[in-house]
Amino acid sequence: MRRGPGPEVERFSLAQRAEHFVLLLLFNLLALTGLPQKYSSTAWAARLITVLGGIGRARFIHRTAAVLLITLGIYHLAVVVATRNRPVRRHDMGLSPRDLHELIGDIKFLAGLSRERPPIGRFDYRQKFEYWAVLWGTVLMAATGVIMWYPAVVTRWIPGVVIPASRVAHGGEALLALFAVIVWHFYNAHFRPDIFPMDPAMFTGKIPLERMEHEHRGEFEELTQAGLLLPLAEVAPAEVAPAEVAAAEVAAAVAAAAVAPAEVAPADVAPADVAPATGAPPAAAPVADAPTAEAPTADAPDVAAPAAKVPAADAPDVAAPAAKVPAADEPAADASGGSDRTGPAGPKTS
Amino acid sequence: MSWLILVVVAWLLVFPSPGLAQGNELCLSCHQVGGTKVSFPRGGELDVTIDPKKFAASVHAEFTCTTCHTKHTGYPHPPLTANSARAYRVGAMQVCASCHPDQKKAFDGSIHGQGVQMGLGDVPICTSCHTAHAVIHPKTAAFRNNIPEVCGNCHADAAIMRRYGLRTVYQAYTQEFHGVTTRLYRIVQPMSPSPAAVCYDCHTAHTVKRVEDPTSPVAPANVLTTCRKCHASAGRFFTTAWTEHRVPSPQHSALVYLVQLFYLILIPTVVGFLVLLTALDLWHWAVTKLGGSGG
Repeated sequence: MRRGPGPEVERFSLAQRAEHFVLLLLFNLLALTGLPQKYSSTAWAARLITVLGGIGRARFIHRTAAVLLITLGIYHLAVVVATRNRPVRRHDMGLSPRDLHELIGDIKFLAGLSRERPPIGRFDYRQKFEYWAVLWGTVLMAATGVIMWYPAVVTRWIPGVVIPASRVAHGGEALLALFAVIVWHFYNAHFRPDIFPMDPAMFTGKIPLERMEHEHRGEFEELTQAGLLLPLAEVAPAEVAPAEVAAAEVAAAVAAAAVAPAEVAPADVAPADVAPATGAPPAAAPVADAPTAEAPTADAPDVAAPAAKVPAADAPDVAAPAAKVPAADEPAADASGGSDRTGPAGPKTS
Repeated sequence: MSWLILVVVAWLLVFPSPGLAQGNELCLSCHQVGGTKVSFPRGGELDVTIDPKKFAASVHAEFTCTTCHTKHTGYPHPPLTANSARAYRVGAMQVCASCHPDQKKAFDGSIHGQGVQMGLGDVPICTSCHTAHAVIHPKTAAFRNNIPEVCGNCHADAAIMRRYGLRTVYQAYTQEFHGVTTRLYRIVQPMSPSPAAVCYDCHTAHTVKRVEDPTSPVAPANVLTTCRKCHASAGRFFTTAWTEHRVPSPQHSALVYLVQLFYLILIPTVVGFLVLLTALDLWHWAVTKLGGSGG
């Protein structure tokens, strides 16, 4: 994601980011020490085993990482249960038929069969797919791994054929996970043209408010409605232009009327930094269309919310400055003009 | 030519080189020259070249050539009595037996030994596994870690196995846990014995029997006892984990086969779908970008 200067919202807590890092580390360790066992007759497996210091050490690393991953999984589930009711950064991974509609709708949208991209909640179908794949994969790998680790004990109770079957499943699932990560996760978190070379949210936990509104409208609306984007927002304009609070609302209205907060404008008036959170975000293209927009603005918008450019940068990036809930309505109307990848689906909040 | 040999022989008698058993230099003066072969009237050739280095590294390095080649005390050598290379090698087993009678006796009772007595031409004899002049101690890691390949010399060969109504098992072994471990283990620790089972741990070496033979350690009734040599706590169902050195199929280890099939279908399906979605996303991006700038 190009690092737009716009305000940002924290989507992932420090603990969640740390969890992701540990998962990343363990996943790679497991792949590195597991794959040479699956492909043991290849030359690269031999080299890798040499580098690792022998099959004994590779297996020790593999099993240690596996135990840690299982622990992480248990921790994760505990946290999910403990935080199920908190208002922000919640674990909204529940699957519903909506996700299937989202997927189908998204395919239609991407294929050009539909002009509207389905509205997406805190997590989109891709993220949910990956999440459940990781969860399911971990459970399966843990189960088959333990069976292979203690074959003698396991076969006191269950038929021995599960041991070779586990071996095949462990290798198959590993390959599936690896391919899914390489194709799907790398694409969505690194190689997507608007994200390349990587989504910094992995480190910062934050994404631009604008992007949240586009890509996770459900979460955006929820946070807005809960008033969670407000408290800090009120601080922001005060810092920049304490005197202009009233003007802020005016600006919102202005932005809504598609008089794009041109670069020129923000320079002199404080309201400009108010605008992004409210009106401008979804309107990258529409801004350009707007007849009143100054020429220079026309190319700026695709970077970030136009008005946010200069002043908003110093606003606390945790939340949107000044975003007054109702202001978020209007822009949808003019946004329909240009079909940005997020589509024109406007918030229906009131 | 003969005068040259005489000179060399005389030289070596006067200046024997240390390290090799007394008298071996004399034999080696001819036998370390590569490519000398002996033909037999009823087929077969015997390469009589000896690599002094390999011999010096063998367990028999301190023996003189004549310890085993008892009749070859002079030159020219007495004519060979064996009429084929195989017959010569089979006859040589008696030489081994003169020092290793117990092993020879055990071998004679084995399925391999019975084959030799029946005159079968491709059944292993002492030298098939131990070699003749590069014998290494069978208790060494180097010997143990190479066992799958030693047995694989024949048990990976479909043509030989077919003759005896057997399956090739080496290929399956190398993909099994024991085989994978052994292969990966010796990469870094070739001089340390593989902790995983190699052929003789289950099948025994000199007393190897047919699997159908009820006295075989791998006969169905004995397998669990054999497994427990290493897997002391093996549960009663442990042996059903055994895939018999077979590639899983609907007939054998059907569950394993089904899991294999499942992933064979699942992986390309899922990955293909993800690739498709990714391509679609890129395509949409490209169209929007190009369409946008064009308009």
